[in-house]
This record gives sequence, C-alpha cells and structure tokens, in this order.
Amino acid sequence: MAPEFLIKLDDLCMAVMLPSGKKTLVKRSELRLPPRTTVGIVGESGSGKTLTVSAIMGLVPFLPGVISGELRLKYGDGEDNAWQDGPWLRDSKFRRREYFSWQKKLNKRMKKYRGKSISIIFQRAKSSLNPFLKIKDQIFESLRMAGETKDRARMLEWLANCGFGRSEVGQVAEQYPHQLSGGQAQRAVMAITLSSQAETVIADEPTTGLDAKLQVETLIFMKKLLDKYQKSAIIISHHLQSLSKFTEICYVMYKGLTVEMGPTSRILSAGNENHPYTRQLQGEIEYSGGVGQILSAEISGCPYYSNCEIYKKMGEQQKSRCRDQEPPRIYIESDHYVRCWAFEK
Amino acid sequence: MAIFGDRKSGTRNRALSLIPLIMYLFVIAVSFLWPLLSLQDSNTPYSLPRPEEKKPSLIHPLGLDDLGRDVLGNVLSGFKTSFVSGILATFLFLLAGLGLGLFVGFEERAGAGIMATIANSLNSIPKFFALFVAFIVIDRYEPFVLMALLGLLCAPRLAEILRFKISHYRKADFYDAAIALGLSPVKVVGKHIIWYNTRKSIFSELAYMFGYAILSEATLSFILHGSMGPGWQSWGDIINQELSGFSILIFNLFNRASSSGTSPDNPLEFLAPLVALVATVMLFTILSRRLVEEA
Amino acid sequence: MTVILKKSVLILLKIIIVPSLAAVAVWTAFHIVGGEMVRVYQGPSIWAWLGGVLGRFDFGMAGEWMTSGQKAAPYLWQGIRNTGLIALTAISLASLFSIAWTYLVWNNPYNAGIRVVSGLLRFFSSWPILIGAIFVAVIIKAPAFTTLIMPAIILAICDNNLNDFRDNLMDEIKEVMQSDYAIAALGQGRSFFRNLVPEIFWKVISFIASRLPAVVSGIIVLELYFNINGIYQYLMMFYRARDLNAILGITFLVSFCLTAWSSIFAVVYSIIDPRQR
Repeated sequence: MAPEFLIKLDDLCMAVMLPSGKKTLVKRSELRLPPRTTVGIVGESGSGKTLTVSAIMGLVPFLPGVISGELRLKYGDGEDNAWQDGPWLRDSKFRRREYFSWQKKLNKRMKKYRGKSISIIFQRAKSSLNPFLKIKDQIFESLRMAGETKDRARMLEWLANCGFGRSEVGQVAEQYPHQLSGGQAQRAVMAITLSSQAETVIADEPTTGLDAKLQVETLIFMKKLLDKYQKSAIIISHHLQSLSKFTEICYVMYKGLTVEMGPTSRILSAGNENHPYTRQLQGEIEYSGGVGQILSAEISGCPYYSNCEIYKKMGEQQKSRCRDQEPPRIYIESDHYVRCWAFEK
Repeated sequence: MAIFGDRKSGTRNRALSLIPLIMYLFVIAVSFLWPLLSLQDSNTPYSLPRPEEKKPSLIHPLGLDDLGRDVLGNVLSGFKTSFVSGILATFLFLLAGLGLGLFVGFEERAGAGIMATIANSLNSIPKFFALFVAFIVIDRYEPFVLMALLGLLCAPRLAEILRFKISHYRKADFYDAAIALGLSPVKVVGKHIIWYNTRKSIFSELAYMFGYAILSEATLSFILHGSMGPGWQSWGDIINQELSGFSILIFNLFNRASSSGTSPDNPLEFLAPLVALVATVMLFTILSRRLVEEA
Repeated sequence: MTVILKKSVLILLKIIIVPSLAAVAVWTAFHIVGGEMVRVYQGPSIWAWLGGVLGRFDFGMAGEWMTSGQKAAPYLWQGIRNTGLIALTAISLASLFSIAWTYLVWNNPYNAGIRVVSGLLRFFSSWPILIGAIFVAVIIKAPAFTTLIMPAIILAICDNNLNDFRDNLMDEIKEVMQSDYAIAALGQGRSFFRNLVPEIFWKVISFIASRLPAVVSGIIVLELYFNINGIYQYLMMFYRARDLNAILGITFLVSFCLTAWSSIFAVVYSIIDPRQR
C-alpha cells in the first residue's frame, strides 16, 4: 500500500540568534507531500519558504535554526521520525553544545535520504555547480549514487532528457559550469539532480535569473520529467500564477506562517474563500503595505493584519483579536484550510 | 571594536576594548617624559653592580641590569624607539599604499597596469632580506631609515586592498547613480568607497603594520646588535644582551637541577623587555584582527 | 601554440630582467651611499658582472673569508637551498595544520581544548621567533638546529607571517565549505569533501605560492643565531668580509628564484583553475 505521505512537517518554528536576541523567522510552517504529487510553496521574499525546505533537508545555515516542530519521512519501509523538538531550548535557554550535537546527529541521519530519497535544486543553478568539475563528472557522481556505473551513454541520455539537443550534449558534457549560460546551467542541475533517482525533488525557485519565456519553458519541462519518472516534488516560487499548471497542492506562506493550504485550483480561483494575502497574490487586491513593515515573525497575532483589507473593515474587538491572537486553521473543505479569523463561523 | 561608526549596542564592550590602547599611549607618554622624571641620568657611565644591587627597589622598580642601567628606563626607551619606528613605518605604509592604491584602482588609466606590476614585484621581495641589504648598504644600524623602508615595501599590501575595493565598487550601481546625481568621482571614491566601505580594512592594516614594524625593529636590533645610544635603546638589543640569562632561566625552569648551579641575578632585565615587546605586538595584532572581524 | 610560446618568452625575460634590475638597484644604492665596501671594491663593473652571471653563471670568486680560489656560486646555491627548504617545510606544515584545524573546528566549534590551542598559537606568534626557538630547544633538548626540520617547526608556530597565513587560509577554506556548491553537494547527497578537494587544493597552492617570500623573511633570526648556512648567514659573512660581488650575487639569486617561483605558479594556476584555462 502506498504511504499517505512521504514528507510530513508540522509546526516548524525557526529562529536566528542575533546580538540583540532571538528573532523568529518561521513561526508555524507545515507541509505534507503525498507520493507522486507536486506541491507548491508560494510567498514573497522573506516568507520562510526556503527556510522550510532547508529544515526538511537538515541544511539550516544559522543558529539555532530549528526550535521546534516535527519532521516525519516515509521512504522505503517504515516511518522515520527525523527530528522533533530539540532539548536545546529547555528552560527557554539556548544550549549551544546540545544543539550542535543534535545537529551533528541530524546531519548523519539525513545523509541516508539526501540524494537517494530527496534531492534539491537550489536557486542559483550556476553557483550550485562545482566550478572545478566538468558537467559529465558531476552527472557521473549522481549516477554512482543511484547505483549505476559510470556510463557515458547514460550520462548523455540524461542531458538529452533535460532539454539539451542531441548535437550539443557531447559539448555540454565536456564544459565547466562557467562556460554555460543561465538556462543551460539550470538544465544541467536538473540532469544532475534527476539522475540521482531520488524519489522527491525539491526545486527552490528553479527559474530565478531566467527570462520570462525561459521560466515557463523550464517549468513545463521540469513537470514533464517529474511525471515521466513518477517523482514527487516541492516547487517554491514567489509567483502564484507560475505554479498553477505545475502543482496539485499549494501552500501559501506569509512572514513565516502558512496562511493557506489547498488544491492549487482552489488557491487560484476560490476568490472570497481565500486568505486575503492569497487574493493579493492572485491580483484581486492591491498591495497596501507601506515601508518599514516588521520583517520578522515576532508578531503574536496574524502577521498580515496591517495590510489586510478585511481587517480595516472590522470592529475594534475583532481587530484586537487579529492583532493579538494567532488565527487557527479553519477548514473550508477537508483539503483546504485558511488561517484567518474572518473565516471563523 | 568599531571606529567612528556603528553606535549600536556593545558600546560598553567597545569602551572596554579601548583600555589597552589608552594604557599603551599613556606608557608612550611616560617614556618620552622619562628623562625628566628619571632619577638616573642616561649619560651616567656604566657600572658593574653587585648582585644585591641589581634587585628591584623603590628607586629602581625593575632593578638594574649587568651594566648598572635602570631596567625600567631600558624598557621605556624601548617603548619610545619602537613607537617612533612603528609610527614611521605605518605613516609611510599609509601614504605610499593610499597613493599607489588610488592610482592602480582606476584600471583604465595609462600606467595603472605597469604600476600594478611594480607593486606586485615589490610585494614579492622578502622584507627582511631587503632590510638586511639596506643595512649592509648603510653600513650601520639606523632603525628609523630601515623602518621607513619597511613601510614602503609593505605599501603594496594596502594598495592591493584599495585597488580591489575601488575597482569593485566603481562597477557597482551605486557609483553610477552617485555620478548621475552630480557627485564628483573624487567625492564618491574618497567618501563613499574609501571612507565608508574601506576604512575598517585600512585601520586593520595600519594596526597590523604597526605591530609588525615593532616586531621587525626588535628582530633587526636583536640580530644586528643595533642601538641608537642611551635613551633610544631597542628591546631587541636589550634582549640580546641578556639572552644568556634567559636561557639559564628556561633551562632551570624545565630541569629541576641545573648543571651550572647559576641563576640570573635579576630575571627582570630580560623578562621585562620581552613581556613589553610581546604585549605590544599582541595588542596591535588583536586590534587588527578585531577590526577585520568588524569590517 | 603561439600563445604558449609568447608566454614562455615573457616568463624567460621576466626571470632575467627582474634579478638583473635588483642587482643594479643594490649596486646603485651602494654607490649613492658610498662607504667602505665601495672604496675597497676592485671587481668588474656591474655590467661586466651581469654579463658574467647571465653568460656563464659566474658569480665571481668567493671573498676572503673562504679558501681563496673558490667560486662563490656553490655557496650561494647552498644558501638558497637551505633557506628555501626551511621556508617550504614551514609553510607546508602550516598549510596542513590549517586544513586539519579547520576541519576540527568545523566539527567541534565548542570544544574548550580547541579554543585553548587557538589562543596559544596566537600568543606564540607574537613572540620574537628566537625566543620561541630557545624555549622549544631548551625544553625538548633537541639537536635542534643541525637539521632543517626544527627551524621549520619553530617558524610554523612563531612566525607572525605564518600566523597571518594560517588565519587567512582557514578563512578561505571555511568559505569554500560554506559556498553554494558545497551546500548543494551536501543537499544532493554527493560527497562533500570530494567536491571540495580541488578548490581547497588550489587555494593552498596559491597561498603557498604568494606567501613564500614573507616566510623567507622570517628565517633571518633562526639562521643568524643558530648558524644555519642560509642566505642570511651568507649575507652576514659577505658583509663582514666586505665582499660586494657576493652580496650582488646573492641578491641576484634570491630575486631569480622568487621570480621563477611566482612565474611557475602563474602557469600552474592557469592549469589547475578551469576558470582561468
């Protein structure tokens, strides 16, 4: 029987330690990835999308990083509780040594998933390629991880699968990353990632830096490959429309909080049954935020209230609740929820 | 440690970290005033004091050395010599480095490439080799001339930092935007690139150069037995004169029974200048490192 | 092919012109300052001397401090060899230490022992090298300075320049370990270290190449005090013997070796780094 989910992330909370104190960056992020499904995460810059997937991969680059939450993975037989709330925040005190030793264990644990079950395509394709190795050597390395031999024909086939013409695959294979254009580098990264045959691919804004036409082409191409090899995927974007054709489920994030989740078709078109921020992303509402917004999730209530059109029309009591109390998940349908007090019945 | 900037939290830490520098400057001031404050005339002929006379006393807090000189006076004269050497080297380092850096930073200028090549060649000269050859040419120990030469030889290091920053930031959008607003290139380079963006790196290099010059001067005076006479002694020369005592002290420390049965009469005669040298060099090395971390 | 030929000719010209200029500069400095060495000099003019060096590699006769009739060249080469070996050994030890230390600190950032050792290294690098040398030599009673390894170790610990070198190299290695492609390799399950080895190797090579002259500087104290037959020891002997020819000779040879060293590495960089190829 197929598992219900491959990745299950609940209540992720992440923070960074600054000289002035702890600053929360992700407040309550969550994700469920069913098998052979493409899930999208959408939100503006600073909403915590990349941090969420970094936490899944165990690649958080700052301290303390993950404060609380739970990550469960179901690859192969059995279910793995990859991590849960750590001990380093006992008594609200950050314990560096314990945290560091937890992170070392997590790294060891995630090694068995990275590249084999889950692989990731980073935002800047060119800089995520090894500048000292030719493209062919990097694909060979991925093939080795998938248990295949160092087969040139197979390597060239992967390059062809990822959009390179048959006549140019030989040349591209012999090139170094700095010799490739942005689009070529993106496709090379796809070839490296997909050839490792990981069951899940995470693509963090894979079309950054490409022109508009190429962005669409790249996403179409990626979706075709994912469907062909029956992989599940998490695609991150800051543009809702670009995810519409490529994802089945969508998570909308704002300032570290997942404000809406549901089938992509509903996220795109439900109108009044969407979170006000989602409607802003859809283009229905003009952005009314000013400069000098609070740029972190250090807000006790709804992070969107200061820009919210619905909030402006509320009574004082309701406004106070929006400001001070974090909205719970309110289910519109069984597979669609919104975090907004305005939807409370 | 912030210099002229960043008035955020940590002011207390910055104030505390300035204390060693203030103490150092105080000691320098005392060293220059020492001839007026001292009870012993630096021109007094040398004597050969008895062992009990060499011990520290109220009049001579660090005691006397083998030639009857006040050890505290020796150390302070070392502070004076090292300070002037450091200032001279650092000043020329700054002057030549700034000039060269500004010239080669504008890569499109005629001659910038040649100057850059010359600067690289200067940088690749082993400094002590050049100083040693200079000593041979002059045929006597002139610390200030040698330190001036050291400053000039090290200038390409500063020039390279400036070259990188100027050529990097001149390609940045803010440079074009500033020129478009009507600011002169001189103002943009001088104020926005050098002062705002590069000053901490420059100060770090100056601190490093100062410490390096002091250590270099002490090293040269050690191996060349160099001194400029009473009142302007060098730590290196003092340490050289007392080196045998140092060796005996170390030997006795790590070997319970000493074979010679001797011990130095006044260990402070070599420990004091050694500690002064190490502390001064460490002060400026740490200062330089802190400025780099803040940059 | 023509590019390679052109580059080779340029390198050859560089390693002839730069040492010659260095010798001419020293000769000119001597004649401007004047002094006893110039007054007692009875050798050929600088151009004749340069002609002898470039044409026949003849640095003239050794000074009076050696057995008369001896050529200076073998002694000069011996000096260069000894100093060069000490410098290379010291910088190699410092590089190996940097790599190992960066890895240790990366995996154990809160280890008290590591912090103590870091502090000690910083402390010892402020010492005059000689004092550090005596300290170590007396404590461990090493036959110390009859071999070249002990001076190299002292230099690696106590030299200000090498401390700077270690810090900078460790920073560079850390930067490589935190680079986008390193994290990508980690995230894609590929070998973290295998992917980093080429760039770290290149960084170490470029550091050794660029910092060697500074390390050569620091050997002066060890040579002169412990009578190691290196360039500084010979320079001191030539100075005492008032041997201008030999001083010019060692200046020429040191410049020649350092220029050749940097030229060779310029070629090596262009081979190792694919971005330059």
